[in-house]
Amino acid sequence: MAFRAKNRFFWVGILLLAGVFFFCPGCKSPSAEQLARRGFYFWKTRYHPDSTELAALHDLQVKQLYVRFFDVALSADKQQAAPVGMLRAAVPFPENIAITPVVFITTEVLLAPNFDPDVLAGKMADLLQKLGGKYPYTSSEIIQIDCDWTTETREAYFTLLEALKKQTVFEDKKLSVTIRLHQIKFAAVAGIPPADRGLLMCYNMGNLRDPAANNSIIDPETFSKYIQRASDYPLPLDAALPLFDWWVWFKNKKYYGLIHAGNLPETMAGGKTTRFKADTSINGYAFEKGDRIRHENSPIKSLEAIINRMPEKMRSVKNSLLLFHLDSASLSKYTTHELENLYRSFH
Amino acid sequence: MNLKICIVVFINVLWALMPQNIIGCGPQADPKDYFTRFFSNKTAGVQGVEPFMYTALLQFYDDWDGYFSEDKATKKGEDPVLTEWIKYSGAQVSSAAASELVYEIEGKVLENLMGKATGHNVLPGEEFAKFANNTLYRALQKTGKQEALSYLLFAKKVQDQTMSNDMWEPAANRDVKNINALLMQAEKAYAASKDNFLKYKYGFMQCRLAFYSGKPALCIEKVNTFFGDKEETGTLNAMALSYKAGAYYEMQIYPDAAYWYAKAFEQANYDRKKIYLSFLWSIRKGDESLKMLVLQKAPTNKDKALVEALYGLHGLEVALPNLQEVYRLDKTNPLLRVLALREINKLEENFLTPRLNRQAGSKESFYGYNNSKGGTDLTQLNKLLAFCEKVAKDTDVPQTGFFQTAAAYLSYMAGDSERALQWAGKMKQGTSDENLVNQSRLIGLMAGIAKSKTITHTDEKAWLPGLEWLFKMAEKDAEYRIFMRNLFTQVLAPKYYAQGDVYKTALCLGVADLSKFKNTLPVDEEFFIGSGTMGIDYVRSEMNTQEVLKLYSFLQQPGLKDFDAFITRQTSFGLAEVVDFLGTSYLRDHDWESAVSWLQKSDEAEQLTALVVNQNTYDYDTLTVDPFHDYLNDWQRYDKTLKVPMGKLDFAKKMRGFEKQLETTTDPAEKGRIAYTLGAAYYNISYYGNAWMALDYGRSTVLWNNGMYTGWRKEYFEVQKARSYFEKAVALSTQNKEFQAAAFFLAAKCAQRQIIRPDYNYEQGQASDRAEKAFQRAFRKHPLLGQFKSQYGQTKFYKYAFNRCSYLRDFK
Repeated sequence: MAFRAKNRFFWVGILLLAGVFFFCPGCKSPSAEQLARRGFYFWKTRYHPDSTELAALHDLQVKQLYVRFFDVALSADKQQAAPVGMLRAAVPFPENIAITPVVFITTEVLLAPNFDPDVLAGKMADLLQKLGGKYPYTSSEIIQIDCDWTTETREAYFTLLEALKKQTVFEDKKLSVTIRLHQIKFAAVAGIPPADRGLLMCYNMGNLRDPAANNSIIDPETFSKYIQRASDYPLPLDAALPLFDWWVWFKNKKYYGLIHAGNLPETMAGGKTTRFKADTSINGYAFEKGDRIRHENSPIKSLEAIINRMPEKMRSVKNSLLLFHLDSASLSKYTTHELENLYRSFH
Repeated sequence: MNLKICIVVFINVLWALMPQNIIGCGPQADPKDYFTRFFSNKTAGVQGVEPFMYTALLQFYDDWDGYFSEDKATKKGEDPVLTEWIKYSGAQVSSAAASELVYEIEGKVLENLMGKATGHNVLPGEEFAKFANNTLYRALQKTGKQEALSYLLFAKKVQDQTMSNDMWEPAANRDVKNINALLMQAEKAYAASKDNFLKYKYGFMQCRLAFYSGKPALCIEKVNTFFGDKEETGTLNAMALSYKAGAYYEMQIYPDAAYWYAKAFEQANYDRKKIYLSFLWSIRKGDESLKMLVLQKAPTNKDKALVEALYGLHGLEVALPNLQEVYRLDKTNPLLRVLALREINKLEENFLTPRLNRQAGSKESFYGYNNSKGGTDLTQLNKLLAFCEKVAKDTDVPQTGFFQTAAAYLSYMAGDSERALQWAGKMKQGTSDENLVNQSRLIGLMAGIAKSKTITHTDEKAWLPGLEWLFKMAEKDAEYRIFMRNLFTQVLAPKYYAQGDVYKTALCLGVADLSKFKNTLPVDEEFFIGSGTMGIDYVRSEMNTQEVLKLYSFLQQPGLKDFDAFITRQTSFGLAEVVDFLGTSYLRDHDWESAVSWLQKSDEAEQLTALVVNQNTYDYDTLTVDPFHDYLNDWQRYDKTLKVPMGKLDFAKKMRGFEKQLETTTDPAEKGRIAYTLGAAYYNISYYGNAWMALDYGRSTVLWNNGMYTGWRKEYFEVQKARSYFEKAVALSTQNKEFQAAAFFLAAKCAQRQIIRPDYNYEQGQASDRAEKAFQRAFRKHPLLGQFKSQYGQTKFYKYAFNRCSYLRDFK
């Protein structure tokens, strides 16, 4: 009897779910072309996805993974560019997902007096090739360079991009570059990088150090102010949305540091600000009376609002939507359904 | 530090905080110059501690030194390993040659030199010759130290197995089997060698190989064997202790790891930052319960003081308890002065900077964060002052002069100038340390200035020698250049402002532009000096016509003497710039007659042009604006341009002419047209118009009439005059409904800009959001727009405006 009751509820549930699925407007299955534009960033040094992360790739039918291969920073003696945090893959990359290597370049490298774009481009290309040989992957058509260039570094950065495009490893590849919101709003001064595509980073919109800010990671209102001219931007734009959260620690009303997700109890999360009434030690963090910690996250409603505010041109089926980043702690804040809807609403 | 560094630093600091890449627009804080400072780092008088000076913006204070010049990097001292080898060779060998043989030459090359290469490893003759002339190699050969060459060959093998030589090579997995084999070789070589220098080297190699072979306990045992209790066994001692600490860390025995890193730090004369970072890892985010265990590992009070000092050597929080504890345990610990200096810097950042910034007329000329808050709580300052005064009297403490100077400065900060002068006087009697003498002279000067309630000529004369000395110091010393700038911007400028001598405030700010320094600082010591036009910017943005006239009178006096001569000599602007500006100041007053008169005296024919972004090229176009152009919407302001640019003088003359015409013309229609033209011109020279550059020197795109503007800016944002002229045009144009409609619409547009839009208050975000919505509503639904529709709805102009002006549709 118990079994039959359970069975009955099961089928009622299935029917209801099917009803929602079939009668929900806009819930038609995504096309292969749309699916091909779903992606995640993988931003850890060691590639060893856990079961949650693998399940997300599978359940969301993700077809692209943008993997940080290495950073380029100055060596300890500040005299030469050197790779930092080189990728180590503990397991093979999935065959059915196209991997896009990403290299982050700090602007210090571009400002260094002995910066030589051709030499650096050669080394970067060589290392990309070596890492590709060491950890074989199904290659996407793209290689991405990530750099928060400024007017000071624009010329050097663009020259480096030109030099990279001449490298063998870039043959038959499209060069994608990350674009920060300020670079799109102030394109006249920031310039347009010589690349095939841009990827608009739709996060880190506010002033992290401002004690009065609400959420420096994501704020649809701020996004609107920056995005007005995105339709005019001369490069096709992919988009990346954040899934991460953190706590911002203020001492004496001044920014003190960041506490990464998972390091404090979840009861202190939820986007709220906690003020310490007495000296308190939590997980090794010694908070003093009067300290404040502001939890900042990427609420699903904000993510949806950001997509809704993107210009139509950006949401073209030719553009990709990436989520930053593939990490089980971040994924645990969202249901698969919510993330599925994000991808769907983008296209 | 310079602008480039500022930007880079900001980006990199944030990058270090992963995973974010924040929006940054323009220069950001310089880690060495982001709060008001007057206390020199050199006063600590301790070698090798620069990385541990205070800054909240970098992990280590000197992280960016050597960034723009190799000089600074190489000046940091000789590599002690190379120094040991040179000494061992007993010959005149350069560091470069030693570095080539010890670090750079590959193992196979060395094998060739030693005649051990066979087959295809044999180098061609010319390549062999290149390396065979290495002076260290030849010296070792000459003195028969073949064994040393064997050691170097062995060391290179160890290096290959434990580290990657090429940073651009993907990391190879360490081969434990090979490392173990090398460890056995090192043991044998150690036993066989009769050369103490090489024995000690092979001993060190055993420690290192044991560590990399994944045998931390063995590593500790080896370090104890070869480097045990000896305080100084050579350069490698600190490195060996680091391996020992690292081994404890590997075994997750953190108190021991932290203690041995502290000991390695103490003995290191190289790579202290690396060791300190490891110490920080070992203390597990400052876990206080762990600290007790670390202290228990320290056998003597001296060792305990060392650990306590290292705990206080990082972070932003108050570390006075660490300082007091170090003093209690070991009065001779040199880090005592470094810790005290860090505490002074923290007070400068959190107390002095906001306190100075709150003074009217004070200008912070560096980029800082939230520097206007705080600065009222004296508790911490008094605690540190009491401590420094106590130590300053303690004859067991070396360098009491430092603490006397610190007490003088803290007294100044606390507002007790007499006490500051007393301590500075005591210090002068007791020390010959040049850095402390200079520091106490600066404090004496500042305390003297603070003592004076109202600045008189006598005061200025008395300060002049001190200021001239400070200027000379600033010529050669980056820290003193910053101190001098801060003295003029945040001490003298507000003091003159408070007594109503605003023209001298402007001159002080001009001195702080530092434009008169002939020599530049070494590139690594540069700091962001701003626009270099702070003085004239202040004149242009903060002073009214009467104040500028006072400045003009002062500057044009012949034969200025003493302080007056000094300040006019050192300031960044002169009479010519003031004359240039006076015309503009009269334009702001709408006194066209006087404006014409002053603009005619000016050598600078300023023209009304705007830089506008070209949507196609993403570059700037220079447009010659028409200040009499009327347009519906502000975004159309540049639609009509002039072929020949109009200058400020031409504009003033035209305005003078139109206003006279308006007075004399009797025909109402003509009068109406003149009033309309004047309305358009007054609107255009407002913040919203196309000719704002007639009155201002820059325009932010985010401002609006917030109801708070005073002086000339009130009209600039409220456009009352423009509105009244358009209303006059409406009243005078009863015979021309279409023209009347246009004038009415433009008057309504002015009225919209008179609606107050409060500045966004981030402290009260929700209230600000509500206020913004209310403003938007009031703007769109202004009653004059409804009236416009009802009175002029049938005109052609209404239809024209309706199609171009979105909010008119709300009245459909």
